Amino acid sequence: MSNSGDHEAMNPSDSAGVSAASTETASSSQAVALGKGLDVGTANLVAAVQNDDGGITVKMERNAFIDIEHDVHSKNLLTKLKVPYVVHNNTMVVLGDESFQLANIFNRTTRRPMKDGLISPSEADAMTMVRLIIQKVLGEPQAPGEVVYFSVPGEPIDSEANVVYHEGVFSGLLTKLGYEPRSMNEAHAVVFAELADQDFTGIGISCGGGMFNVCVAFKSIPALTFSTSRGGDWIDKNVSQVLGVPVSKATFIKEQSMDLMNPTNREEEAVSIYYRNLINYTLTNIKSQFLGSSGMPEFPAPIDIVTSGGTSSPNGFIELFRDEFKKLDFPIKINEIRRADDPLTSVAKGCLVAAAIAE
Amino acid sequence: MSIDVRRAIEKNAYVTSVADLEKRGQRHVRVIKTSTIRELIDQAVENVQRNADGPMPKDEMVAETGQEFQRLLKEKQSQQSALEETQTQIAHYKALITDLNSRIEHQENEIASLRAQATAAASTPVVDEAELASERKRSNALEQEVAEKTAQLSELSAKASRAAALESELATWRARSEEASARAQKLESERAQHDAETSEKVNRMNEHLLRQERDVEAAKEAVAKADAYQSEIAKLNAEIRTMRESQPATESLVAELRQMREGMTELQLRNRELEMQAAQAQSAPQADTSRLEELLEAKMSQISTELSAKLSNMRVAGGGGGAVGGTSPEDIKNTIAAIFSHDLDGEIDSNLDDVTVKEKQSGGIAGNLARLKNLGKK
Repeated sequence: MSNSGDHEAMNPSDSAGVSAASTETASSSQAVALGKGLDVGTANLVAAVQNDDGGITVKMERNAFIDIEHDVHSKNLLTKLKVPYVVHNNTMVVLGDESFQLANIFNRTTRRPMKDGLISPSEADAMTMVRLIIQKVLGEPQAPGEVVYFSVPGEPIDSEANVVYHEGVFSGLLTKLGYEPRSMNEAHAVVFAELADQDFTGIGISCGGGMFNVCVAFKSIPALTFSTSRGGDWIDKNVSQVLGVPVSKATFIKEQSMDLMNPTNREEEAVSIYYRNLINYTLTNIKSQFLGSSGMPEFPAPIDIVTSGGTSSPNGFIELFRDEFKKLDFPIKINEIRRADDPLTSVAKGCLVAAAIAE
Repeated sequence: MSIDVRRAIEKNAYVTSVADLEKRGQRHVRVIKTSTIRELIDQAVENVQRNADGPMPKDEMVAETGQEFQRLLKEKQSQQSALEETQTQIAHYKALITDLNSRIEHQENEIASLRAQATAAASTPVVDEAELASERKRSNALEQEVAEKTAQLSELSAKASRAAALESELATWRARSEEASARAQKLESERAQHDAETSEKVNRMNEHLLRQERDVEAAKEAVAKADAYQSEIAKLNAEIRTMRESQPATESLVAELRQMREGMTELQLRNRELEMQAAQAQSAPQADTSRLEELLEAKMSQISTELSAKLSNMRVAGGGGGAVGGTSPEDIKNTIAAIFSHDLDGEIDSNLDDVTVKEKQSGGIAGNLARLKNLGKK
């Protein structure tokens, strides 16, 4: 079930294992700086690049936009306020986080180029906006044909969606921008970013806006990857329906500093209920995939589960996750369930690790 | 012309005994003087005439006078009742005063008697000091009692006059209370009416709002539908364009197809003819018929193959899928290239170069890289 297209969707560990040359060149400062990671998420676009201080610099922007009336006054105002806009097909479009804020102010819903983890078929014109946001967060290639690893979802087990087209579109876009694109399963990227101390063995879960992606890896090699087409948006949609508020408003409630284990009002209660349901749904699917898969490795010791992604950010998420995990008779012994230190940047960081190895 | 009221009453009344009335349960009767009746009639007639604008028909005059008479009679009766009540009260107070006076008189007589006894006792040479003291004490007590009774009397008198004043005040307050009650009823009725009107207005506004909300929803739905229709129309237009472009080829193919069909029909007719001939000439050699069938089958097969090939070519030429809709990696690459061929090249008006995106620093990946490389070496 591991995802692969024709865009060199390779296992990055392969390059680590087979290319001695790239291992050597990685020690030079030029080689370490080259290579970029890009998390193509339904909710956010996040790019990671190594910096001169030995750390990484992460740039992110919300993957959303909203169209507003095009007039000189609005244009001047947006320019003055440094709100990112684009005039496209004679329509003024506000991009990123500001579009989300505008949607909340005007009680509208943002337009989303992606849905359920993949390019949205109903937003075909939105590719221009995605390209502009990617250009902004990723910047120009540092050298022609610089390798960029970008995240793609695993094959969904609960929908007919196909990732081939999605992967191809982003690959084409990055090629146009002057990069050499390579795709990487986003849960695998979580393994690369968060399970180094466990020799890249364990379960990485990317809790995104459109999907939950799961990767079971042994020594960096993915043994099982899949996705479920329920994520943060699924929570927003359901909360929006039960509370009778726009989806943007539901997202706003969810992203406030609430504690999922201790909801304090009706809205937070609704968010907590749907979170619990989503976690239970994901864990049940992981269990059934484990039991149904013939190629599962025998783990010599209990393994870790690490979660990342914006949907895993709220306080109490990991406690809720542990709570639901206890209810299942899980087929693998688990040592620890934890959340990535920085859930929003974990996938981009994993992609960057892969890119740096490839360079 | 004056009316002899007494005679008129006597003429229209019947005589009954008090005992008879008592038998019917009427223990009390109201009595009205003939003069009062006369006064009431005069007053009624005068009132009606005064209020009339001009000469009045007799029937109307009679009716209105009758009504006025009844009203005046009721008024009079009410006054009479009030008077009787007042008189009863006065009689009660008078009896009280009489009683008190008699008691005072009795006490005064007793005092006088005691005084006389005291005087007589004083003139008696042999005085029993103890009896005298006792009598004095008794006299003092009686005097004190008299003083108390006198005070009680004056108090009762004051109470009587206060009761009369209170009675009058009570009547005034009753009148005011009735007036206030009437006013309150009127206000209550006005308020109820106002409430009903307000409630109706609110209901009307709610209905209006609901209608507006429904209209907005319908408008949104219509816009969405319009968008969908527009997209459908665009798609259809594209298909029409493609069809038009391939029209000449299609037309020639259709003509060819028609020709072939005609040929087929001709061959089928010919086949039927031959079958009939074969049936008629049963003595003819069997091999000839078989040959003919083989020829026909071969021809039919050829026509069918040709038709299939041409129809297949038509589909490709018509743009119904072919190369564009393919699922091979090369096809997908071509499709994606087509998507970006025009999108990335144009000038776009934006301020993206002047704005900064959210940025943060994070720990390095050196450790991850080192472990991954070690793993690769192992």
